Amino acid sequence: MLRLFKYLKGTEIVMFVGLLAFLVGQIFCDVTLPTYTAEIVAKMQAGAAASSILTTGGIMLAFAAGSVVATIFETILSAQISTRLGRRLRGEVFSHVVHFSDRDAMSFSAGSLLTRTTNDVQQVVSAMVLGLRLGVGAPLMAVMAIVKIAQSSGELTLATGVAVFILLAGIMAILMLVLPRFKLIQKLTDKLNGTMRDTLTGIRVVRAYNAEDFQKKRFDEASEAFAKNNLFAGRVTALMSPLMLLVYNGLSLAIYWIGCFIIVRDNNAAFFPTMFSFTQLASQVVTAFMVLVMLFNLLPRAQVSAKRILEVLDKKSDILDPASPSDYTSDGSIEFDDVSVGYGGKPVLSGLTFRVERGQTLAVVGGTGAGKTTVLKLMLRFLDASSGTVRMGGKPVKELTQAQLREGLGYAPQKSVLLSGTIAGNLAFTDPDLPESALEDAAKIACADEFIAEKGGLSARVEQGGRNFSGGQRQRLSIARAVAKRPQILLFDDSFSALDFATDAKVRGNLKKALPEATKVIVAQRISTVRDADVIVVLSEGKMAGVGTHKELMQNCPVYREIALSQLSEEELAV
Amino acid sequence: MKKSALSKLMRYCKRHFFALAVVLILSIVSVFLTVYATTYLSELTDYIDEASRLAAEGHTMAEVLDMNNVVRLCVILLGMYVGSAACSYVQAFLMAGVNQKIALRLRSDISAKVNLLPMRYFDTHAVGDTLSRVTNDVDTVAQSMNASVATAVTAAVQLVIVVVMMFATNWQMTLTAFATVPLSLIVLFLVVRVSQKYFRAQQRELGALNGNAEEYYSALELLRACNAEERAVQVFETQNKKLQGAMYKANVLSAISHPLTTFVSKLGYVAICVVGGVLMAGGGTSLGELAAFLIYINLFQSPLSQLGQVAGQFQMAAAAAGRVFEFLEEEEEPRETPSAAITPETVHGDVTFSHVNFGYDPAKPVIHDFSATVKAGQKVAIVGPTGAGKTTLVNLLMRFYECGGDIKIDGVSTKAMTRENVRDLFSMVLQDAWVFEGTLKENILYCKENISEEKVVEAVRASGIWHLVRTLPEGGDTVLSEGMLSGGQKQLITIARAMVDGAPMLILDEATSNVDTRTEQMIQSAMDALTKDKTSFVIAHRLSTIKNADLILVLDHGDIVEQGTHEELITRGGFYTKLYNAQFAS
Repeated sequence: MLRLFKYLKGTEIVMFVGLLAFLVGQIFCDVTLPTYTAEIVAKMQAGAAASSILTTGGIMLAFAAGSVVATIFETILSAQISTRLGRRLRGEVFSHVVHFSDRDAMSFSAGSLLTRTTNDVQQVVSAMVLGLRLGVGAPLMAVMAIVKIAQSSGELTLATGVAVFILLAGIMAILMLVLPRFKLIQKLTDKLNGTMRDTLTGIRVVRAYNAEDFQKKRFDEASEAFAKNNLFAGRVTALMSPLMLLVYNGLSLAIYWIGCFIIVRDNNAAFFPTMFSFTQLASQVVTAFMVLVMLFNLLPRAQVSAKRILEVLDKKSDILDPASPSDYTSDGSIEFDDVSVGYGGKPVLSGLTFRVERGQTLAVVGGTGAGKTTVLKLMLRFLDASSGTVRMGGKPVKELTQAQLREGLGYAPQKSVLLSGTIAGNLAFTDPDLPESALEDAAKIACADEFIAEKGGLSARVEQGGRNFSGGQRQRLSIARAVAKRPQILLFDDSFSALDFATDAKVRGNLKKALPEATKVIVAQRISTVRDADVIVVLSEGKMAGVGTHKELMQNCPVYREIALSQLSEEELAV
Repeated sequence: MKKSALSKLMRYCKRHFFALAVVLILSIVSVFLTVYATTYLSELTDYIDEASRLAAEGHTMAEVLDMNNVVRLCVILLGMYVGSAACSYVQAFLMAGVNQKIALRLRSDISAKVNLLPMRYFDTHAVGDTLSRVTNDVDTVAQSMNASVATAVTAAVQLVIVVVMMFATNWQMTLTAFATVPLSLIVLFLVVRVSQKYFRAQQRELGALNGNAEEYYSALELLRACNAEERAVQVFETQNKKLQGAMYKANVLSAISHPLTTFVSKLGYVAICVVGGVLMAGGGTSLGELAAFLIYINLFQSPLSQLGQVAGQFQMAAAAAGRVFEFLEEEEEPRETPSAAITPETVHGDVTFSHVNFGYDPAKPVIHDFSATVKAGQKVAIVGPTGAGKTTLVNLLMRFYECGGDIKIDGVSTKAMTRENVRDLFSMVLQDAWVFEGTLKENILYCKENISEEKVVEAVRASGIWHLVRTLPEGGDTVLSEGMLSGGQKQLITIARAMVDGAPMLILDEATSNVDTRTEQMIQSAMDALTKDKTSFVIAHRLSTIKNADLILVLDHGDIVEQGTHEELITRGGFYTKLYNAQFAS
């Protein structure tokens, strides 16, 4: 967690110094206050006049007011620091996440990233600021109070020191017992959530398999482990407040006891008011530590949160831009030269070699898990090949910046994601400066113009996740978005699957007519979608099972033939 | 509503009555000891004060101050403090146990409840909502109970005892102490009123920021492909800045109540010193009493502010408990009184639908009047355009919902059997491939016990996930997590699960929609082997896969429009032919 302190910038450090100054002032006022209590007691013992007692009371009030004013300034400053730091950390996390490489993004779920961006940052920031304030304040208070006491009695100083030591030792012991449990509890919470989520999302399956009791057992097991650990942590932390109170009361007693001893030893009755005021001082010291304990309640959770944030911030993208990128003009070609990819030592794709020219269509077909999407990821450089070279537009992708490369690519992902806003905003997502006419053309190409008109034109609202559009409509908008800026190379990842056969064919026809110069890459399962492609790459379990045209493959690639025949009859294929 | 939620919560407390009674007694004892100890402290102070007066008349301190007396009083006090601390800890220890037990029971009741709710409930409630009731709300209830009930009791007891003791000691100083109460209350009231507005603003901005981030996080791939990372950061930063402003205001305003109330309490402290001093001058009080009062005023003010906090926590607990009980009181599926049973071993497999009608919303029927007869061992395909009611039909067959008309298996009405019995007769694979967080093996075996290793291996091979098992880091013992598997792979796992289940009849609802055609064929042949002589119902998108079905039911708008084999229907040249040909239009 300490590492997160480096995100404090200049202004905040100045603010923090100011905060410390006010803190010192506040503690000075607080520590001085009991001196006047002693004065009042002495005056009372001497039977002084009411006006004289009132004067001392006035001074006391002035110190009290000083303390309050200082505290208000501390509050303002610490709110400034914490909200600034919170904003910076949120920004950092967000920026890191959007710059994640594909592999990084896969290792977190969207939900978990969201929690890290908001809740975790909040936890950490409030603990950090409270920590700075109390972590400095409580010891400072203890030191100043002890100094004050030391001025009149060594024995009482010792007693106060011992009390502070017992307090600290107690707190440390409790923390050491509890911290590991808190970590475990965090994990168990996830598990508890996960099991219930499983049951709820799979309720039909659960019922179909009569697995209600099985699910309940899984949940109850997690629930019991959760309760057990919570109970332990709760019972240990509950020690904290009686311990504090006992130390406080014990210290007051010790002061009386030792005080009386000193009075008798030195035959000094005048020590009594001073000793009396020390019990007040002792109460302040212990109170300061009590507040510190509040922080320790926050700390374990904050530490877990800090770790979760750092997990995001520490991810270094494995996709790096070249140090000195050169100018780039794409010639529209795509070439794979003996390309292989592996995840953790296990090959996902191996030995891919093919080439298409500007304006041609490349189709990638193959079974589930054969690695079709991986081919597109290589082209987009979401992923680097572990060996071999991927050339896009005539240049190896590793010699281009990611921005240069992707500038020339239009991509419609497997899942058609729409962002809330307007249709126009979504279509112009690749380039906000695209003119309306370009968006209209794109919509027409993707056969989306009709339903866009029905919804009320380009300025029509898109709800979050594109809820107000059907699967087929979302897919067409996604295609329109990819073509809107008229890129040299278009990538479609199973982007026609939700379209009926007629629309599928029409969209592909439009693409050919409207963007004859663009190289098109189509990943698909329907043979009818890919049969006209100039080059078809057939994948099977990560290997290239064939490459060529439909006709060639029908003759010499058994895997392709099998796929084709499973969808269409011999006669239909002959057409 | 809130009140009733709390009273329902009390029902859960009932079985812990004894523990709670002990908790109450212990907290009273603990508080009493702390407060009552003050009188001894006061006695000690007076004793020393008296001694110093005598000393002023010419005695030495050693003569007038008997250390034995001092030690005696100190030991009594120490005993009381230790006793108080011990009681307070045992109280907290017991309370924590009661709390966790209540939370555990609430969670267990909820998970039992999930199993008793009709499917309709899950159609109309978001998963996230139910989930947050199970975890967040139960947690809130438990936590605030822990903090608030114990604190409330202790604080209230402390308040009463302190007030009594204060009056018993000195009424003038007591009234002085009371005078600061309204001041504190006014400060708190004002701060809460003003800061609430800003807290709402903060929550609003936070919600907007969350929405922003959530949307972008689910579209990361798109951002990258469109070079839109920086633009997203800009949008986020704008909202982030707004949030910071709102948070700052809310923070300052809520935090300011603390120094202000502290000031008020110091004001009370000074006032007591002054009033006490004046009284002492007139002989109206002693130094011991004043010392006691300075402690009393602390003991008096702290429960006041604690009670304020507790009131807030109670509100939170009540709201959370309300949501939990709302869930627990949802209408359950009607209890069953089965009059017939068919075991999976003896079932023949004839299925009859007679005049089945149904609508999720009774006003909008999805199935109007559906009748069909399926003979044992037939492969039945249900086809039709989206929204024709194909999945609904399967839902009714599984008795996820209760329908009008009747569905009979081997001539026995499914309504006469238990739901569990009906579901035992079918294995089912759904379009939404469901894989839970567990190992691959657990996912395949699922709730079935005593399944031989060979049978699992056989299912793994037949369903085409052998390759997957080999590539996973720990093979079949790999814990499956989100994002690890493709949609197709998940679906294959669910197919393997159905194979292991091995029920006498089979339902495939778009079971292979995420799987490529080649794998589908492979699975199909495995399935065909599995379903040989078993009745099976198949809903498929790709009509080519159901060409060999024994019976094709063509649905449109909830009614059967045609039925027969592929050849019969194609020669008829009707609705089915149109559907079939639409696939090849290009």
